[in-house]
Amino acid sequence: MGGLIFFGMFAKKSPMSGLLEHYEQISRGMELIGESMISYIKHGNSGIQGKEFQRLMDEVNDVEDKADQIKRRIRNHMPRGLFLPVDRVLFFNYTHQQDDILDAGQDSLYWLSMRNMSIPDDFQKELLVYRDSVSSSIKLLKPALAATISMVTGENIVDRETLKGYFRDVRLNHKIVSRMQNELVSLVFNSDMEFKEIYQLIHFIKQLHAMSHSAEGCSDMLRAMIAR
Amino acid sequence: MDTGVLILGLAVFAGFLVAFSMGANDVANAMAPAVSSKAVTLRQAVVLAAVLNCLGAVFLGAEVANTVATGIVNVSSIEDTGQLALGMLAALLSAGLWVLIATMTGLPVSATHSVVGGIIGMGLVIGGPEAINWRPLTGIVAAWLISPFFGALLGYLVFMHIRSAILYSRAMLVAARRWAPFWLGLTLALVALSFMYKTPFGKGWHFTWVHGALVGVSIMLLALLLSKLAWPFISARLMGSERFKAHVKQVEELFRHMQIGTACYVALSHGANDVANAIGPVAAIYLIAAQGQVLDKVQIPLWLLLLGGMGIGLGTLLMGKKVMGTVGEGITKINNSRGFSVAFGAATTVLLASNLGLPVSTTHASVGAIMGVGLARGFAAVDFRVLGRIFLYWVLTVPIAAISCVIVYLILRWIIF
Repeated sequence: MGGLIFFGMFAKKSPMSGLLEHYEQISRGMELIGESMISYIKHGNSGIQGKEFQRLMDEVNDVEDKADQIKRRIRNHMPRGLFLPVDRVLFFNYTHQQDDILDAGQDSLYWLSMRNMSIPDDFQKELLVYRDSVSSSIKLLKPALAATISMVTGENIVDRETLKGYFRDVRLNHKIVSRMQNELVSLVFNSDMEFKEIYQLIHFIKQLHAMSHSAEGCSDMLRAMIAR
Repeated sequence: MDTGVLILGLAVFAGFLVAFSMGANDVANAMAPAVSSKAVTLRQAVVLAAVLNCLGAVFLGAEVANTVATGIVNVSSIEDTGQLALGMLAALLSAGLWVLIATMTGLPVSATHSVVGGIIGMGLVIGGPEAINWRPLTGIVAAWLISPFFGALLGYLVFMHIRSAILYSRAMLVAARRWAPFWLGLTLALVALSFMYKTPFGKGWHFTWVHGALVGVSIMLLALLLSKLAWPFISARLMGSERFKAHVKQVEELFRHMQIGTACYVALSHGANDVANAIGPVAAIYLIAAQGQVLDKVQIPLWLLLLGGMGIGLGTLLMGKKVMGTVGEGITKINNSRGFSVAFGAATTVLLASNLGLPVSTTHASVGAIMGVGLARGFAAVDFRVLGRIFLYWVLTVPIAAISCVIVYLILRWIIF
């Protein structure tokens, strides 16, 4: 008898590998959000110079669409007979949670784009540092995701303690993001800005925080995937 | 030429060809986990499989061959031994035909199921329903049903243990050092016990279960002791300059070495069980030619087992590499710990079935073991829908083989008598 049955048992491509593909879009989206922020701070979102922000925002929307397509492809091509190395519900929830990162990023730009606002010089630096911290949460998710996939699929044996270290890094970074968010919100509230601008900026800050929060949620789910 | 001698000559030739085809084909299934996890190279796999299949067939193949020769059809109820010999030849030829079809089309047709189906068909036509040993046949069918599940259970338990005790351990290498000798010892003990109780040489000693228990425990202890003594050398070889780094690679490397052992175990078990498909019917024909009758329980001649073993070995040696290479293109990477679990589950199932004299499919046992490791969430994605297809072919193979055997039998009878 040929060896077809033996290898026919294995699906050609694991849905788990799609998670990394999806992550790449999230990562690209975060880069664009960072560029959009700089553009907004420098030129706002109106007039000729504001077109740059609009262009970047459109690009973020395109990346989000691609991410959604990947998510749908993963979720819609999982026949019942396919047995995954992790719980199916957990897997679905993870895809949802990872997608939420970019959804929040999209919303953050939406809040900035609602009306043209001049971000005071005092906040500009803090906002950029805050953006970098949020970006770090997302960057730290990648090794955690890649190592978890590697471990659960058996591609490579991964040291469980090292893996737990990756999850810890994401969690600790998110703590820093939360602390920075509170400080920034407090600064914005105590500024001399108009109430509408305060409202707009706080929502922007909150949405960036939501990005980091979702990344932390993803990390928690990855931890659940390797539970004994 | 005497008709009996002619049938025997044809049967020996056909039996050898069937063994050769099985050797060429089944090496892919038997050695696949070891090759895909790079525990052994393709060349090593082919040589190991050839030698150990032959050894398994010669030393451990008699029980299953006996079942195929005399256990399915009540040979003493068929008075016309000439028709019986012709029927057995037809069963062999039709099984050979199905192995050939499986080779050419890649259809999941089991040689074991084909030959058993063929013998049932032959028995029904020559002697009617009363010529079939329904009770032993029920046992064989039950073994077909149970073997994948048993393989799955073993694969599941072994992998769960490896994962919880070794892969999830804080000190992986220490845990691997503790448990590796246990698994190797258990493998060796199972093989040794099979040799003690199931080979003609071992049977001559009339071992009791106390002897078996003593040998089993002794082998386990010896494996522990040897691993303790050899550890400094193994450790030095595994660690190299990375003594103080994470032990992840070293554990996988250790399993790679262990998997060479289980690959041998699979090849041995495969030879022990599958030789019967080629040799069982030939044995019946030989006994008719030599003694004029077939007793209910016969001693399979050693030369016949050797013929089957050599057929499988030669098939593996000459054609195995080509078949394995074709399969290898679409090979799914299985790492060593998973491969070890699959091989152990499959080989133990097949060896136990061989010891009970039950012809089972090695591929089905392997598929069961993969299912078990998959259920333990050991693989990236296991497609359980394949099981439905396998079951369908399993159900279809037996009646189709029976019908094709009857057709071959009628053609042979028309030509020869």
